[in-house]
Amino acid sequence: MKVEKKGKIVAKVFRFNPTRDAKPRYDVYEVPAEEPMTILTMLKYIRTRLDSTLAFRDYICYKGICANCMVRFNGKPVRACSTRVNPGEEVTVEPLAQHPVIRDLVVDFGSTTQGDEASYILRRGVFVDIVKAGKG
Amino acid sequence: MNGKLEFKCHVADVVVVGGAGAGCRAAIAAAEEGVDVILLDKGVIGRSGATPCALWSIQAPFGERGMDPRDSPDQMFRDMVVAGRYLGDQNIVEVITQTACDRILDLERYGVKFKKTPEGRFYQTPMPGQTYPRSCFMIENGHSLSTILAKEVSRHRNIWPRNDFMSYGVITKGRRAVGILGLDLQTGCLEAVLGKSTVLASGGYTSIWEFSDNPPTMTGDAVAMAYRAGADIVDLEFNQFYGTDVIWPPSVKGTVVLYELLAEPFTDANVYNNKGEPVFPKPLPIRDEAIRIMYKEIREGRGTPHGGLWYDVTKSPKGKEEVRRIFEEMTPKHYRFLIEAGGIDLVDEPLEVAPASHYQCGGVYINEKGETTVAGLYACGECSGNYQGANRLAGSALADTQTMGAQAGKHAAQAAKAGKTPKPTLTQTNVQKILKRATLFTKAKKGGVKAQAVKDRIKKLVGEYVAPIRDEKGLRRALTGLKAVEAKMLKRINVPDLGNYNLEWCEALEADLMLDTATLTVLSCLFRKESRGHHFRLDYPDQDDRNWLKHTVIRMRNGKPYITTKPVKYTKMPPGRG
Repeated sequence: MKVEKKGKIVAKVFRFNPTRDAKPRYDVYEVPAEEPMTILTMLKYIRTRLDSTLAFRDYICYKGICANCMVRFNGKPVRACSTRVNPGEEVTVEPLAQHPVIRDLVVDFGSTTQGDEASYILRRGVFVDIVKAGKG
Repeated sequence: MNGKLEFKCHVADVVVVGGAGAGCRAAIAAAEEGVDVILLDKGVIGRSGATPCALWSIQAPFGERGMDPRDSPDQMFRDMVVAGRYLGDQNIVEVITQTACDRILDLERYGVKFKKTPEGRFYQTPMPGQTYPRSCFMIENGHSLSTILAKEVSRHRNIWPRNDFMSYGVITKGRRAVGILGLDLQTGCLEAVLGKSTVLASGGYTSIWEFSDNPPTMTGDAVAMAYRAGADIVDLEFNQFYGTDVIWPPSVKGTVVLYELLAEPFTDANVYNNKGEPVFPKPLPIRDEAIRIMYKEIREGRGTPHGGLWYDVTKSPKGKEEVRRIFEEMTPKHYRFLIEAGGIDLVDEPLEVAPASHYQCGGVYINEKGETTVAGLYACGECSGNYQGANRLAGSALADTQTMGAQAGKHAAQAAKAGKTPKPTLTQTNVQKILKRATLFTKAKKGGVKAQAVKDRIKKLVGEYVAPIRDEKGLRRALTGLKAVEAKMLKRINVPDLGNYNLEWCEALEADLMLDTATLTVLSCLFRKESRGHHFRLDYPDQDDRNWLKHTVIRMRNGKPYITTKPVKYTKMPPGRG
């Protein structure tokens, strides 16, 4: 831990919108911190104070079990709500590796368990009606 | 997406909104009737809603199969009616108490692990207000309930579970509900999901308060959606607070530490004010009384630096080792979370705690089948209203999700099968009206505001004035404040064009729904001029059975809230003869 960086955390955060971006990038944010804070608190700070376009999944259970807030932290999968970062640290936050990215740190957890549209329609003969809703 | 709006439409027999305890159970019950189900959740099914927050406790009167042979559905019925201060509709309480054991056996069959005695009976803990120990013990807490129900859902090929779908409005045709319009966060598109029956099971309104121990997603969407669809909304003044939620430090703010564990059989400890005086009498009072005691201490200036009280088990006569054992056995995840995320071991140091918004006792008016007052629209779980009454017992919320979830899902499916209901289409519905409102926020505006700022303002007003102790003056202020939010902030919300997973658009829709739910809540609080259960009016401090043994009801009339009352349904236990 270097002394001159005390009082802040430097976070390198994965950014990617698969429908618009050709490839991912990393944005760097400086978060003021006198005390240790959880990754989730840090991400919330970035979203509310620095960059409202950052997408991540917020907490649900808030006791480190439901895994809704899972991210990769310095390469390792962790729960963002119960993992602490110390002032002075430089950290990297990325989405979980084994699921497709929806945007930024948000992954499609359902890709393994959730039924998909095509099989639902094939199975049940449900119609899909694409409607142009005028000017919107 | 912005401006050039394209949207899809899917059709099922039954549409269920909410993928936690009640919604998953409703979807399973509907699927078992052989109909097609689409299950929508604004997060990830199995990790969403309030169910993963829940602790071990789910109550059922197992009697001889549990801890005390004297317990029975009738005894549970009496306990629920008394705790609800005779404001729960007894036709529904009967269904809950008669079917709770069967639904827990269902859960066991799905794979939820319950703690058992060496003889194989259900281990049950005693909780305040239960005549006999009645809270069955889920070993992996509410988390196991949600993940295992999600797994059970995925076993049914006729359920299509959809994650990341923010439901925004009930589509109606005339006076009939025909589905849901919402935002599919994964694609960034609005979508109509039509069904012959629609079941609302998306939980409560606890996060319209500034300080809540529930997930931030609990924004009361179902109440506002049902209200806009013309349904009766009931008893919103009864928001249950929970007394002992951690208020400091911020990284663990909102974590529940159980006040029930302060009872004699557990730690025999207490909560203390800043003078070091214990605040709870023993045996512990039930929840509504406990909260008032705490709130009074804080309000009268005997609170901690961050506006709470000290939850202190360090002085327990049971000793450190035993106290640690109790927390590790009863609430291991919370105990570890406080150490990992907050750096606090509660065995060694006291915690600052305060009352937080915990559970919505009121909600959408239903009958014993889960039907609302709108044809084709059902509700179950926390978002539905008239069976808890003015207060709720520990272990009741989860039992209700399973009993009434199964009930609503079954009846929604049977009605869809009955053949009388036409296959829903979008023609002659209000879908354009809902679409117009949903896209209002995406139009570029000068000097626009962030949806988050609107949500924060609503939470601040509700948190400050719809407190555990409230009065006319404060409630009027809240109402004025909410009107200002509607006039000056709501229409100025500006959502950037982000494509998929547009959290800001989702928040804008939530803010819009929250505002209605908050306004209806304040109006209900103003209307009930007495104190009962979780509704305590400083200006009307007494319970008034002569005038107020009835439901507060709000429905939309000419676009405005119209407030009236409805009698409570008494089947076997009318007031005064308990």
